[in-house]
Amino acid sequence: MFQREKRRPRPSVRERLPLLKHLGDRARLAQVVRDTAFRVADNVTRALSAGLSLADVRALLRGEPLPEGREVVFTNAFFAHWRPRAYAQSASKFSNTFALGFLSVLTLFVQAITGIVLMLFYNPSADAAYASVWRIVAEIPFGQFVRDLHRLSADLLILFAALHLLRVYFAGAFKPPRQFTWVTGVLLLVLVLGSALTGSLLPYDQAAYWGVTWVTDALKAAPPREGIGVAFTRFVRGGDTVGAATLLRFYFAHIALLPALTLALLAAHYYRVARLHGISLPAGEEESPDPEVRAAAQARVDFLPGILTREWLWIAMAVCALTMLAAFGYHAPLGSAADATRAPSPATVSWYWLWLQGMRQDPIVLPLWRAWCDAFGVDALDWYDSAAWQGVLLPSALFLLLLGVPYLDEVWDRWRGHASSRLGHNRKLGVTLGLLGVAVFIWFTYLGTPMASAPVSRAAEIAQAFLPAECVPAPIPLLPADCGVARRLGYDGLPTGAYELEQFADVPPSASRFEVMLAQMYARLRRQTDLPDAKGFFIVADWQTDLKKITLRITWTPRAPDEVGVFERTMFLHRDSVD
Amino acid sequence: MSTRFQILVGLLFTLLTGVPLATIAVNDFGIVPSSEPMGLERRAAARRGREIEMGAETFARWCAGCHGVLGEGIPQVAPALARGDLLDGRRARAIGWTAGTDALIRHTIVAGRPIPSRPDLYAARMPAWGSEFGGALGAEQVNALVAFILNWRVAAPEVNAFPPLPPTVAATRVPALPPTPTPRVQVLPVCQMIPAPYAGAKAPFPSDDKAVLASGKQIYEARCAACHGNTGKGDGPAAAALNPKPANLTDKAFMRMLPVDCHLYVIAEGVKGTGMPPWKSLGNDALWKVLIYTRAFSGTP
Repeated sequence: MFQREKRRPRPSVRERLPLLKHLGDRARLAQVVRDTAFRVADNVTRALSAGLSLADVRALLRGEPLPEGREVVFTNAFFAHWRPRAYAQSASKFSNTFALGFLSVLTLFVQAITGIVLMLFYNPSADAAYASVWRIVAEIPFGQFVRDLHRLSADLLILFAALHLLRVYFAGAFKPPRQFTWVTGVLLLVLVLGSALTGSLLPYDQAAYWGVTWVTDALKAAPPREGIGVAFTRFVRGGDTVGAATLLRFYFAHIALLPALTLALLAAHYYRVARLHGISLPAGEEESPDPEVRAAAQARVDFLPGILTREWLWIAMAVCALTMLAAFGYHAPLGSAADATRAPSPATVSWYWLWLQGMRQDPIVLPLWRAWCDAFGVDALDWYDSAAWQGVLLPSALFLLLLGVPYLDEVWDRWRGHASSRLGHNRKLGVTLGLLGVAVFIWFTYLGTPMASAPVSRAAEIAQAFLPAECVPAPIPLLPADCGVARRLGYDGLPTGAYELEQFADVPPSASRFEVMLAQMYARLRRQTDLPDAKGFFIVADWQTDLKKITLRITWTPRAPDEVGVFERTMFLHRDSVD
Repeated sequence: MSTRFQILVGLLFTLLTGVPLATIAVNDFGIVPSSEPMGLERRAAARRGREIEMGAETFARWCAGCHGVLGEGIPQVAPALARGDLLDGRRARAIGWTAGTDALIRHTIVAGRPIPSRPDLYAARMPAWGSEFGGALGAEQVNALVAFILNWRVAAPEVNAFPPLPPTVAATRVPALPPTPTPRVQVLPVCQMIPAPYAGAKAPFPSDDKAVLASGKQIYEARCAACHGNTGKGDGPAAAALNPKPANLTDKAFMRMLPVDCHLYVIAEGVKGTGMPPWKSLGNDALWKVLIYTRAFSGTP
């Protein structure tokens, strides 16, 4: 009963390798190899392409009709399951979505791929981070290219995600049944901004160090300041100031925590769009009184081949554009190494944080409150904690408001007794509030730029334009940072000598770029009215081998007894250094 | 657009993407021989250039006060750095250092010198500047400083910064104690015996002259602020590494125990056993200007 089963005879080599049978017959062997290769390729194509055989793909590309039932998704077509089998005719039009969600995901993929490459060379320790970024730029072939791509598509990702949010808002696409999809989208935007903040510290140059210092400083004001604010800032920074601990936890958040959360939320977001309710139709067609228009809008467009081909075309175009930009136009900035003892002035942050910087200037509430206090003679100025309200509470409230938009909208409609409608003229209030929000956002962004903040002094303002201590990032994405006129002229463009600016009051049109710069400086100096008898001197000295020291000295008659009447800005410029 | 047309355009874009990629490959790998430095080579040069610029800024800020603006050294304070024997490795060999000149400079900056190498020539003690020892400079600033100092190598003059000790001086490196003076009341110990040119000295400038204060401020910020701090509280970035700590110049009680003539003596000759170096090489006028400026911190006449 319990006898062991008899061992089966081992299969012979010929049985195991049928090809060997045809070793003698060349033509037959070639035939068998060809057939097998074709069968394998055909199986792979079927598995990847929702069941299309090679012959079907060939037919598709030739524009021939497919045999009936061929689009049916095979259960083993893993990748094909990610995409819907068909789209509604109107939803798939470019002018309906401007492909903003698609472009966001595309830039996110670029981020993931370039990020993994950068991770191989980056060293997240305070002593070595900056040097390792320079190593990527100056020693690794294609290193600068990959870093440029990473920075470039980071800016584009934020831009596309923000525009995507605006598009969905103004199209009313957040209305039922897409309410929770909107919530996941807003959370994704926050995660993207978090990734941008944590990533911006990693180069560990001056802009990184002080940019993160300023943004996290805003958290300090969270009330109660001593309990929550300081404790939370300490938690984020891993200490009282930005330092090695901050770098390590930002690195962890940037490469592990935030990507994992983003991936999970993106899956939920995309599942809802692709499987649950589809892309919203244009409102005018969806709510058209004409049933024919509605039916035409809903008409099926198969994913294969049209939509997939179009997407690959977009991918090819976008990758080509990104590559061109990174190779020929755009280089991710890298300033001086972080120095905790020297804050660059004026404060500069990336374009997507300027609105926060502008809010912290408190341009609306504080003046009103002050006027109110003055008018009634009440001494209540201390009651209003501007930093807490404008830096933490109001932005948090705005975020919650943004999350709740679809639900507030529903409550509003129900209260007014309206049926839910996506048409613009049925939601005048929503569209107006949206436009107002965009305008206020742009205004705050402007207030956050250095050009809107009061300069420390007129002399410092002139120095900043010509000899800035650090390159100033542009307030608009993808524009290069401004490193000052003197640095643009370069080592050879600045002849050694001491120049009094007055002598360059009117330079002939044939003057060199250097003389034109001195003339511009003099014009700026003369135009200002604050400094009495202001005089400017520009000194270029040979300092060391291939190193020049450039000094701008502005003197004026002191206006107050404690004023010195001299301003000096110094910069060193090496022959090989380029901006 | 028909599907086939889209495929054609997409293929064209894919091929077009090869152009920038090929450009970078040619530049970065230097496939095409060229006299112009390209790609990686140029960026590596830019990196060295930026490092030297950063080093120059750091040097002007922290080091020029003692080692001179152009690294020429200040007599009795600190030795020259722009000198041939240091930068070509002779100095390292002379003191038996085998790890190379850049390591010698780097370690001296980071860890300082526990005792002055030649107190008879240079009274100031090099403090530890590395952030790991409580100094102001991170690893990148130190790297930049080393790059900047080594860049003097090309045109460094021959300076005999460390002449050999004469045998008699070598035997008596510890100076004999001066005779115990008669104590003056309510002054610092160092003020109890002030030698001749300083005793009873009077300021040649009025103490409220704006020009004097301004130029005193300039000297102070260049030479003194690193240890005594910009506001005179003795909390400059280099102070952390010093023991005893630099004096708090805003302390009224302390400044009252430091009469004007003794103050001048201390600035000119330094204080033995502390980090305070002698500054008399700056010239008498400069000393008085900075003295007037520092006394203004506490309002002591």
